[in-house]
Amino acid sequence: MGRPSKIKPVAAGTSRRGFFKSTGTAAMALATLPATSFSQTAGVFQHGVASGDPLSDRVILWTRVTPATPVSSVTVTYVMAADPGLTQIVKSGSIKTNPGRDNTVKVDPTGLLPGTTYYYRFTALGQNSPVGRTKTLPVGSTASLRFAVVSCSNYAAGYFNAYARIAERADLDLVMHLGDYIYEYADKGYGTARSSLPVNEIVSLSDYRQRHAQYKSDVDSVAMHRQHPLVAIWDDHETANNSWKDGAENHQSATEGDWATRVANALQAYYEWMPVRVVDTTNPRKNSRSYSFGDLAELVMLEERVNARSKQIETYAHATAFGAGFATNDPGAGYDDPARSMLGADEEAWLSNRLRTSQAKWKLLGQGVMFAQLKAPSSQAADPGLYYINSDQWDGYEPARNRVYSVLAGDSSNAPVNNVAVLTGDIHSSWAADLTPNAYNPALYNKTTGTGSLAVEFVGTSVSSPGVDSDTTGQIAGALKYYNPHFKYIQLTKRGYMLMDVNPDRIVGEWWHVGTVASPSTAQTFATAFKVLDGTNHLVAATQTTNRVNPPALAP
Amino acid sequence: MNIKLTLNRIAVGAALAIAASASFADETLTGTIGFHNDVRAYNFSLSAAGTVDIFSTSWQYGLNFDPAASVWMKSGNAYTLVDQNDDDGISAYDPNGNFNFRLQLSLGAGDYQLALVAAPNAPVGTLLSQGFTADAEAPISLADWTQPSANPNFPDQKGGSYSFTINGASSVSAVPEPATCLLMGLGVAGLLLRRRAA
Repeated sequence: MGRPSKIKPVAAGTSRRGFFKSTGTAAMALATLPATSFSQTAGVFQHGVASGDPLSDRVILWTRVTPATPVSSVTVTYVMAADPGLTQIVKSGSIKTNPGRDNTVKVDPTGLLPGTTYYYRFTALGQNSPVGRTKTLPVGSTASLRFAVVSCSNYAAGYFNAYARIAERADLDLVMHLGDYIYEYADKGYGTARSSLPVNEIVSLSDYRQRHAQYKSDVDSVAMHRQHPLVAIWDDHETANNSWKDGAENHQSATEGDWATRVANALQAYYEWMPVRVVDTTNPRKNSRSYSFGDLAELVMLEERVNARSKQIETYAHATAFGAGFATNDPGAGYDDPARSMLGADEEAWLSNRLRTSQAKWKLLGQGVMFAQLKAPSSQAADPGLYYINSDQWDGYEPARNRVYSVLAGDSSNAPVNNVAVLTGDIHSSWAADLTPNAYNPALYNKTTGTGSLAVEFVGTSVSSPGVDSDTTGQIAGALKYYNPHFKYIQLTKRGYMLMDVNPDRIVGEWWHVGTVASPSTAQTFATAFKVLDGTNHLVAATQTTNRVNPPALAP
Repeated sequence: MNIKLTLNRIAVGAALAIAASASFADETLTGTIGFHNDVRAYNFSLSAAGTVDIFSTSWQYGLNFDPAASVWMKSGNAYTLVDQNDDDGISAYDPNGNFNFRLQLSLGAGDYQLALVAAPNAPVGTLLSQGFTADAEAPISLADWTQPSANPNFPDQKGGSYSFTINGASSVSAVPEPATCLLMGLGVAGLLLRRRAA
């Protein structure tokens, strides 16, 4: 989802049920952690270093070289060490890149120890890169998982202050980016805080590369990437707004060419510029994968855009207080067609298998669009009821969502799947929800006790893309919570990130909001926290977790 | 399998290959390597001082391995390093860069040897007898080797074929590999045995 045009200011007189208020505690000081100061606009390594897709014995290391003058190829060496000073070298090697890969570099050193922090550095053309820090995944009995969740990092819309705050946290295992890592719009097309490069909407391979390069030049992006490994999925804006397998809302074939070509361009640049491992070299669009975090958690990352998603239906037959709405059973609209899919049959089967067979205590689904139902009241007396308002999220694919719910609920052949938490980005705002197929039926879901909930969802706000910033009083959020009883928290105006803290007893999700994205700022505020306890499958209020003691030193 | 016949065919084939490559002026030569530290050698000579241009075209954006080359001048029984190259420079015709080598040398009359390897297997020193950096390593089949120049996203460069063109030399000939020499020897021995048996 791009501009949240479907969510309009609530009509006057709408009830507000403000059972939650932001705690608004003072900005947390992390003075004990050294500032990350790498900033370089010239030189060989002006896009910094990054790591990602960690496994228990390997992790992708990434950089990009910028020769002073174009050269046919560049040889890049790297070292990986157990200490920040790079004195205890455990891996080293040499790789080559060239303009055919946009001079990007990616290595995947193997034979690493599980659950271990490493430091690394590249060297090329007589210069050293900044030192990066990364970490492999643990195996076996695992007591804790702590990571940040981000999404919707729009360079044009503002500064990546959330990235900077995450970079300062030394006790994270990884950073999860749930998509919209870049935006495709032309300069000033969606955000005016900073100018976009190139100035045109990105369509060609060169365009996508240049946009990725601009994002990777951001000082806060550089800081975050060099301190933490990334686990990323793409959402729509890595290609174009509201993409699906055969097109996108923001793709006009008549002027922008073939969609498949554009996707190929976007994904080539994505794989070149992101510290990720290609899942299927025969199908670049396939990006679903999972990570075992010992016996504590399995991170299941979903591809929901360009591999198999059916086209969004845009029949909105009902007027609501939040804009046009729809119902799954609207005659002739097709919302109830079970053949329509978000994931495609293969990925659905894979997801079902992961959920049913994972031996991990927790199953964390990292995915792009909100899984929980979101309805708004009709604004027409003759058409009473609640209607969905965003067909791009799972609401527009209800039969497919119900298939996932069926897996969670279990059946005569399969046990119910407990301890599932869905992590979501996309809508530039903060939400917490119980997940139940019967959210609006008090007989089947009790919003006070959580009875009837099958799983939970934590929706993180954007790094910089605008939300419903007009909701300064919380009136809109309150109304949405009133009509959607499964939501425990909605905040529509703040930018930031989520902090997830997982142990065998519970998952705590914390919402951290930055003070502004209009300028560089160190201000951040702990907004609230919710948790799900082992075996309960519903959310309850929580308190802020504590930082880990003596985490490995940040990269110097 | 008839081992004798097979060896004979290999021996004759190798001899023909060498004979076919012994000609003058512009030559395009092809071959294959199987392991990461294979070295393929070609003798060439100049009857008079001149410019020699040697370039490969076989990388083909990852269809084959990334080759590198070095040129050695014969002096007595020794070969000394003249120049080496891994990747050609960028040009308007090749804005994406390449992993092909190119050596443009002004050489005096004499005998030379070209050594073709898979990058980054570089000469150890200035004498060919010092060998190459990967000589001490156990050979790794190309199919099992990730060359440092391989595409990290969509693995390539599994092909073992190479080709290069040499312009300006008076004569060019492949130096039989040690294994081929052995096979040729066995082939000759096989022929002798057959004649004795006849």
